[in-house]
Amino acid sequence: MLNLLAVFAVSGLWHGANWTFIIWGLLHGSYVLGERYISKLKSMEISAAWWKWIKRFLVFHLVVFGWIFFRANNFEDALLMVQKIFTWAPQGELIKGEVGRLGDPGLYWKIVLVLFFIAIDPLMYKFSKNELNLGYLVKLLVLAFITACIILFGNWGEVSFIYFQF
Amino acid sequence: MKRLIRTTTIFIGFTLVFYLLMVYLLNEISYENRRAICVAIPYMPKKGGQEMSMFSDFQKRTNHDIIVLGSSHAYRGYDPDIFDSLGLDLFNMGSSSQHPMASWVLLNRFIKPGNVKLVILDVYDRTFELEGMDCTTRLIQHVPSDAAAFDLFTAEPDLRSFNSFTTRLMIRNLPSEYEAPGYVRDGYCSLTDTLDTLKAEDRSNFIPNTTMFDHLEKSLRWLEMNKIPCVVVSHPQPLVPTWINYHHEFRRRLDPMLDQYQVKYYDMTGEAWLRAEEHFADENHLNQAGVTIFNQRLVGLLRDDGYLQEHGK
Repeated sequence: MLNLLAVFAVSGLWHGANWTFIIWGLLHGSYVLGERYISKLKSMEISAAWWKWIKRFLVFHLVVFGWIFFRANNFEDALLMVQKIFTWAPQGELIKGEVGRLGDPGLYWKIVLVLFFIAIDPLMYKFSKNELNLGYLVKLLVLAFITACIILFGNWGEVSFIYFQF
Repeated sequence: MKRLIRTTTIFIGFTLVFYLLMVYLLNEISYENRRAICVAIPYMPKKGGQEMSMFSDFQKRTNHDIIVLGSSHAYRGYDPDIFDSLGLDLFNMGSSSQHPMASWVLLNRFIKPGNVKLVILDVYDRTFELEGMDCTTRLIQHVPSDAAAFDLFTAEPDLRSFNSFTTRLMIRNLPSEYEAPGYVRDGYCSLTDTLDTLKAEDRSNFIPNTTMFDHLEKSLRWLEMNKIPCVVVSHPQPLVPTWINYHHEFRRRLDPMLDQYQVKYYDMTGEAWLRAEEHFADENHLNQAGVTIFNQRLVGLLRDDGYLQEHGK
């Protein structure tokens, strides 16, 4: 158990000399430990489809929770974000100046857009693998549309690459 | 090879059509009284505000005793009415976050040697550090000539300035979408608030954007070549302890350049004759009371140093 945690802590440290990366590594280590413990329980041997979806849901949220520590500038910022997530504030700003407020129609449009992109993701995957049997011209049209969207909506600001922190 | 050329040409053609169609539609569709393009693209400014009023005033009359270039320190810090009361005709060509690169384009495109007697370049240390795209996209939308807008795009070639330039061409006849609060005349916007408590951001290390210093030098060289008298001013700011070193580092870069071109520098950062709570509207800008004191003092200094003796009315 300790060996596993140590390996994950070191793999976290490999990403940068900051406590946030170590905690991110330890979190993943604890997830693996938890998974090993739960999978040994007889009561958890469920083959139903709904159980698979619950597991996917849990894994997704645990990984996303880990990203908080991975991306935060420091441990205090990460804790603040965790605290905000678990504090109910219907009129509060989700993230200052970035996402919007609950009740703001703009926020719902953004959520709809995100869901739209999630919905077309399998289609785009098939497109990238050339599995949709589209004609030459249609393929060019799709690629041209995507390129135009990237030019217009791309995040072209100066964004420093996370691994440049070394 | 033929197929590659044909595919590339069709692809570029389709991309251009989609791109222009999207820019057009996003400018036509409104969402909550804002053009959809301003909602969808964070750096795309609304049309109007101080820049639009300023250029509209400038086109009415281009001859002035003094023209000021700079950031919000400039357009909120030099009041044409005060200069007028002192017998001087001042136009304020400052704009939001205006950096030396943008000042250079404005100087080069709109200031003619016979039209001005003194140019004041208001230098704010922060604008020598920033990327400056916010100012560039705003000016591209509002400058009165396509050539100047194109110069701004080529000075900072980037897909954001390109998108801003395309939008400019699409909304050429669009009227102002909002008025600048506190706009007085000739580019000047006044503030009447007072600062309750000074909450200064941390400014410890000055990380220069060398392109900005290069463009300041271009401006100084151009002014020298065209024999237009020029002074450099740093608008008053409350001198927060963490800003002292920052400003000193800025000056270490600036002073040799000013010495080279023999340009007088009036550095009013942290001047004791202004009090944060009484003369400032926020951490960066003077209120009307502060502007009055600053402008009177500056005119006095300029007169003492001989810059305005033969230029005044």
